Amino acid sequence: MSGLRADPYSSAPAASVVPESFFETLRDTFEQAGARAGSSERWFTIGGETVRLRFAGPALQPLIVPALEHLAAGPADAPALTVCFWDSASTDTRMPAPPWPTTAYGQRGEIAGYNTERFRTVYQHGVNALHMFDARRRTALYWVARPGQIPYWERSFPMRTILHWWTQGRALQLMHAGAVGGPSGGALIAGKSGSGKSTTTLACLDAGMMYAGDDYVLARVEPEPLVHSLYGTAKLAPDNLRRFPHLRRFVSNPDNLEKEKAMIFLKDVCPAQLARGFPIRALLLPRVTGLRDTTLRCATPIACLEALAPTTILHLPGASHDAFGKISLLSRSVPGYILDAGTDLEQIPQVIRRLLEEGPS
Amino acid sequence: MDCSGVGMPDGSPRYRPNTPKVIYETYDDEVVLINMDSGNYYSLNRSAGRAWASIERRITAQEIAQDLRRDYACDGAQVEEEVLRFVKELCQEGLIVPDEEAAPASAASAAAPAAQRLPFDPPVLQKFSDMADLLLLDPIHEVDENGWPHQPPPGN
Repeated sequence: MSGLRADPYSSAPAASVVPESFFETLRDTFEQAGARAGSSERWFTIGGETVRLRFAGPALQPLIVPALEHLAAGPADAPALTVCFWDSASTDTRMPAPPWPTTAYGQRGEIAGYNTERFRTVYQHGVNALHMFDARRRTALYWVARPGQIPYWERSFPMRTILHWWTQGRALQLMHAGAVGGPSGGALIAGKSGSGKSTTTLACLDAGMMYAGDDYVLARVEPEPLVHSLYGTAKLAPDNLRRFPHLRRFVSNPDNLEKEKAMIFLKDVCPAQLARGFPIRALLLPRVTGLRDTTLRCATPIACLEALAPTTILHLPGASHDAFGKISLLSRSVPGYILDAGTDLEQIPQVIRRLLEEGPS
Repeated sequence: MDCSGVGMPDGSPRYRPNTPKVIYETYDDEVVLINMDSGNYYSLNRSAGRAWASIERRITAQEIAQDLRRDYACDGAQVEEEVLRFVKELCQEGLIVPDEEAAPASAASAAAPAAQRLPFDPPVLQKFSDMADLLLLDPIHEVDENGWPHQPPPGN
């Protein structure tokens, strides 16, 4: 571990430019990019509120919007969140140099001195994207040098860090979980990669259940636990495609399956099953057993917390006590079950439906 | 982390949770902890959770053992040995740090009646390291002509 790295939440200044000035500089850069390459905007309902996405140039919209298309909405007078997207290459706009030293980057890309009560700033590793959020004006900036550097997984859950910042201090929390349901409510499906989240959610989708996500959802933890859909995507390991052969023709990245998960935009597959959200009736922790049958057993609140909190918090720059507390509240207020998922996939939705409609047996 | 002071009977350090680098939530004596610096996370069983509640009171390892003896039917020497091992483990994982300010400890809860004391399970710290690769472990050296880094993707 390096000793050459500043504490991203230290109050000590790491650079000579204050966050507000740099945010204004970047916002001007975004406007210049839009003036040069053309601009557009799209509106969505996210977490029950209106969100405006502004794009400078045409390159990023096709990479960001498909995952959110099922949440499309009309314009509103006062959006709850505005996100400005641009890239330098396609808009031919020079990005100002970062005003901080290379030692300012934290382990999750947080920029020391640029994470205050009002501003959040991260340079996202892997995407090499800069995200900056002004909580007071509920405006975020999303910049990349080139559109082609946005990886497939970012297209499956675009701007998750910005959405996480937006919900801090409120009853909403981005959660690393899937969600499926029916008329009486649904289940949050928690677990890290490989736990069977995607298999469970896709098996439920095949059985006609409503779908609110397989990787990240937005949960309202009080007064009544609710899940809001964020991304209408499904990702699954390529060798798992054999269990869902009818999805193969919808895979958006068929040429890259040696190194990427198969990604599917469900608006192309089953748009009517993409739910905007539903009440959370149960928290399910899937386990792959290798046995034929699927069964349920009770899970303690602490087991639910352990399945949901670390994987959510460690993926999100700036997530901390606030997120942990909300996940803890949800784990205590919703009954939890371990879903021992069997190889007979048809049983998985049957067991979940029975739980949601009749309660635990 | 210097954990050499753990276990010294006289003048041994008081400890506190290593917040804000470590965040945790407790439910029914069990605890989930996340070390935001290392990316490791942990769970504590009930006796470990009770010991953790004692650490929140900023007391020494010996005093933690005294607290546990109030709750559990057990041999005093065995508890002390297990608590010292546990506190040292917490310290080595960076989950607790010596409390430099040595704030006065708040009072322990009253001892449970002998008949209500629980059988003693040694405190267990269960460690999970499967998400540590999400962190950027090396400092940034490579930047483009505008000064922006270009890092390869971490595990995702």
